[in-house]
Amino acid sequence: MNFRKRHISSNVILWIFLLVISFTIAELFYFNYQSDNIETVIIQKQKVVSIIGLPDLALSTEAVWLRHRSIGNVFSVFPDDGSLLDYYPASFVYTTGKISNSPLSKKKKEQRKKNK
Amino acid sequence: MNFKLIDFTLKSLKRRLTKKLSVIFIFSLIVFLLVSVFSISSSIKKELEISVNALPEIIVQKMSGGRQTVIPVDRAYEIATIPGVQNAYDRVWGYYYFVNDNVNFTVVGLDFDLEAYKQKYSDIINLYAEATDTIDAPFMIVGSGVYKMLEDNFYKNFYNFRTVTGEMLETKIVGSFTDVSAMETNDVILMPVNYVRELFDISENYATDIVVRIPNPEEIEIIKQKLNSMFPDSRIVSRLDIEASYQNIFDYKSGLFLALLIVAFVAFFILVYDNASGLSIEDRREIGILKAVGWQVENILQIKFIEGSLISLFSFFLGTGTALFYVYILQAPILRNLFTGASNLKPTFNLIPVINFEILILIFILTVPVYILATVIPSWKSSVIDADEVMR
Repeated sequence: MNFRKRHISSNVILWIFLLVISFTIAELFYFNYQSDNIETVIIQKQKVVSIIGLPDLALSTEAVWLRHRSIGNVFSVFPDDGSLLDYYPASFVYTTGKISNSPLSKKKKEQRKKNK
Repeated sequence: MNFKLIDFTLKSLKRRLTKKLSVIFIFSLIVFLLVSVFSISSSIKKELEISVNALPEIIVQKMSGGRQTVIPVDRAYEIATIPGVQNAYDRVWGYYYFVNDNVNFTVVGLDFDLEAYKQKYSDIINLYAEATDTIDAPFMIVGSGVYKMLEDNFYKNFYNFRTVTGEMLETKIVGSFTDVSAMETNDVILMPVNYVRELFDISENYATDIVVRIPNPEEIEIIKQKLNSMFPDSRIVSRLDIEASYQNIFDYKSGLFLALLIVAFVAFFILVYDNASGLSIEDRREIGILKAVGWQVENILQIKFIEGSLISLFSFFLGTGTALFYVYILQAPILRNLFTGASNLKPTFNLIPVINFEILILIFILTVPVYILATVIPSWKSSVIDADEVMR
């Protein structure tokens, strides 16, 4: 049998190279243009914040010392809780189980044990 | 520029494409990781910068035993008399623990009758019910995260709050914040202030804190000092303090990212060192043949320079392009877990596009020229030796 190895033409490599570069440059221009034209988004966000009047983003809501930390403890990276050794975002790489930690699931577990 | 040299380099690359693909893959992956993480970080920073300008100039909190406690409302009237203060008003807010999903909601009390608030509603809140000022029963406006969470727990249009006295407070959902402000309002519940007082058992004479509005930014620090001497039991948080606090988070985070950057560059330099420590037999033979047919050292170096440039530029642009697409179009799946909390109440990640050219240039300078040098230097070493010796 005659096996013919298919080779990619050097022109194809050049086109792929140019395509990737032009795609990235286009992306850079597009996102840069978008970041300069978000006036309405900024106004809406500022309206919301002016109504609520509270700082920080709703990224960490699992503990009260993490939400609105800026008005809780102004100059500390590790506020309030001594056992909180590391803080945003290092502590978020791994988490404890959501189900096992929930007080409700503990109750359910106890109930199941009783039923058994 | 000699285009025949470019063509020759491309053909030479084509012969060793599978070998070079692994280099391109690792190079692009490192650039992709760095650009993604820095883009997310820049967007969050931008989000905080936007919100900080809308915050009140000063917040006064009463402290007891190092912890915040309720503050007498009378103090707001005293503060309002200080020259330079536009107005001072009490505020009632707090956290409500939602036991079903193990999360905390931020409940904020608001006087819905104020004309200033009514004007602000239309474009940031989707109202499901009639105008809020005609409702007599308890009602609330919730963040999109709270709305979804309550819906998942079968609270379709209402929620039964459990007050501190143990009674149930059935509250109707009349609206929700639009997704544009999800980063700020995901966990927020807006309620009429009298119901929030009932929920947290705070009497009308007390409030959670006092907000002070100061039109002239030059006067903020002086008024802060005045407030400190007027109320020694209070913590005075100015907008500058909040900005400093944000900076603290980002200084800390920058340290973490620097560690990530160092690890990524160590991996990259190992790759480069491996490349620079010696050419493969195939590469040496190629240089030997080229020298034997009459090519000069200069021409060989030109080929190697073009080869290094093509590979490094391609990898850099591929890594950057895919990272921007991944972060701003796909909204950074998997990697965003690094930035959001461990809680069940995660905001929708609508990142504001921010192109940090300084970081892109830094990554470019630390990768592309280094790789080009690592390609050219060993080729120069081989090309200055006699052709027969190189091929042997």
